[in-house]
Amino acid sequence: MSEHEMGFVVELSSDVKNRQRMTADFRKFITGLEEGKFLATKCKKCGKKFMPPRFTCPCGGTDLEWFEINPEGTLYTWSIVHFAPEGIAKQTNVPYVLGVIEFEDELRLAAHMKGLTSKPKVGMKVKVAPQELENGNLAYFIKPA
Amino acid sequence: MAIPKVAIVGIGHSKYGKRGKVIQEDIEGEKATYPAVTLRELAHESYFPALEHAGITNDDVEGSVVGIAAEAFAGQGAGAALVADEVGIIGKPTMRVETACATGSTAIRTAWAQIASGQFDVIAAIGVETMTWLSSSYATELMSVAGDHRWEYIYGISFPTFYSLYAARKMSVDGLTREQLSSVPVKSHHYGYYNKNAQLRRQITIEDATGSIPIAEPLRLYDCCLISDGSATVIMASEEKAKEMSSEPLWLTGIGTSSDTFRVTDRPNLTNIEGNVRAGQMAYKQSGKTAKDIDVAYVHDCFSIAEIMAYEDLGFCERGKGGEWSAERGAYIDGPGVPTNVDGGLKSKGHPLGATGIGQVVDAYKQVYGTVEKPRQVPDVEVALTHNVGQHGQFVNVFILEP
Repeated sequence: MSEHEMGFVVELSSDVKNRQRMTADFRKFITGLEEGKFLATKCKKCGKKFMPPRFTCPCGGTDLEWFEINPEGTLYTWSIVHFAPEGIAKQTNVPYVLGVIEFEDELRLAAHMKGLTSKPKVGMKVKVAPQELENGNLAYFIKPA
Repeated sequence: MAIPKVAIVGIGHSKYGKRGKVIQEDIEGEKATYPAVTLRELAHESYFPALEHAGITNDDVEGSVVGIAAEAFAGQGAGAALVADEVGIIGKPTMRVETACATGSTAIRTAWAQIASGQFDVIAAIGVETMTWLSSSYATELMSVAGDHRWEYIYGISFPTFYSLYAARKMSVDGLTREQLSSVPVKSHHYGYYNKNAQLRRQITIEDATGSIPIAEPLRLYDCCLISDGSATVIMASEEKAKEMSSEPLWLTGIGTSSDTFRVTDRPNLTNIEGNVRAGQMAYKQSGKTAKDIDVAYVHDCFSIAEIMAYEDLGFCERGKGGEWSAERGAYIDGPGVPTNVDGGLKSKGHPLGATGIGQVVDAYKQVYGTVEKPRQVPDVEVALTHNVGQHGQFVNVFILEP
């Protein structure tokens, strides 16, 4: 199965920079991505790690440090989406494939999948990689490792 | 651990269905779309039958709690004020509650608290939603924006997608099969066929479900519940008033409630919903019952996978065995376990968000007092359970009900 057949035209909807309010904390995550790094946070008070990064901790901690995670992991779960929500449907073709990658420490991240040649499988080796889009925007995708 | 005694003393339930839209020219001659049935009309359809069933008048009702999940579905702000006014509960306190698809049961839980606190003796919980005038893709959008915008929504995670993430994981970890998933809607339609209030009264086969179009794989069309218009009402009363008003009260002996993480990726697993487990255990403990005592159950089958997880989470079967349990007819009236969703569930009866959790309790009342259509009547119901979930476990209410 080719990528085209799997319908991976998801560029606009995956744009992480322009589809949300940019905060100073989130800017740090984006800067990391621009440098090819996936940054997670760790609470200095209780030690809990967060991916996606949280900027405050449920323990009440507000001092969190950034650390780079290994972008390789396994596919925790997946979905092949044939009907998109209206706000997304304008910017993507269906079907598109959504994956959840599991990193070390049971940290997980959801993203579109690219580069599949067959249906996704739970447990397959995958990695997450940032990618500059044709329009200059930035996204990240889960791909077979 | 017993909780203060509060009873359901009156029930009302509109037919759930697809009333659709009307297109009219507006003042400038442009075409405008409106719901074909309004909140007002729908509220009437369940409130006044409930009032009549309770044998009281509006003079006896001290206030209302109104469940409407989304203002955008109704096209009306401050919907509680409109609904209370429309049904004549005027000059008395009202409020709207919202916990996504668990809105209806939260209206009951809020009314329960207002009575249990001693502040009021008689409160109406009214759930109403108009949905089908909107396109499916816009309705999907309205539900999808409840996901985390930054980390979920932009990846096009619709509500079927959230549940498909559980389904794919459970297939891998617990060996759940496609046919086991299909056995859930087959049962829902089997019983919904007999329910006069149900939206889609049609029997289906395993092949129909397995062969239906993919929505968010592994989930297919027949794994997904309906989008519906409808309303349901219960009149609730304190112990003293209930005994005075009704010879057939249904007591809320368990009001379990819990939640789970906002983001799906933060859950400890995607094979069960731990919020279900916590809410269920709370309700069992309060009522002194266990899963073995339940004679009939209404679980939140927004998707087939959700019902399978509910069997496990509420203790109807062993953890990890929900799929097998379903395929072995564990949840049929003549099956080995707890008859579940014998009203057709969200899949066949329908899912008008704000009404759903109240509609479950209305049907439980009818099961207890033996007044449902014969082919779906469970014999000798002494204990009923309802389970209503908002989003994918961010809100959970589990009630135990006894005559």
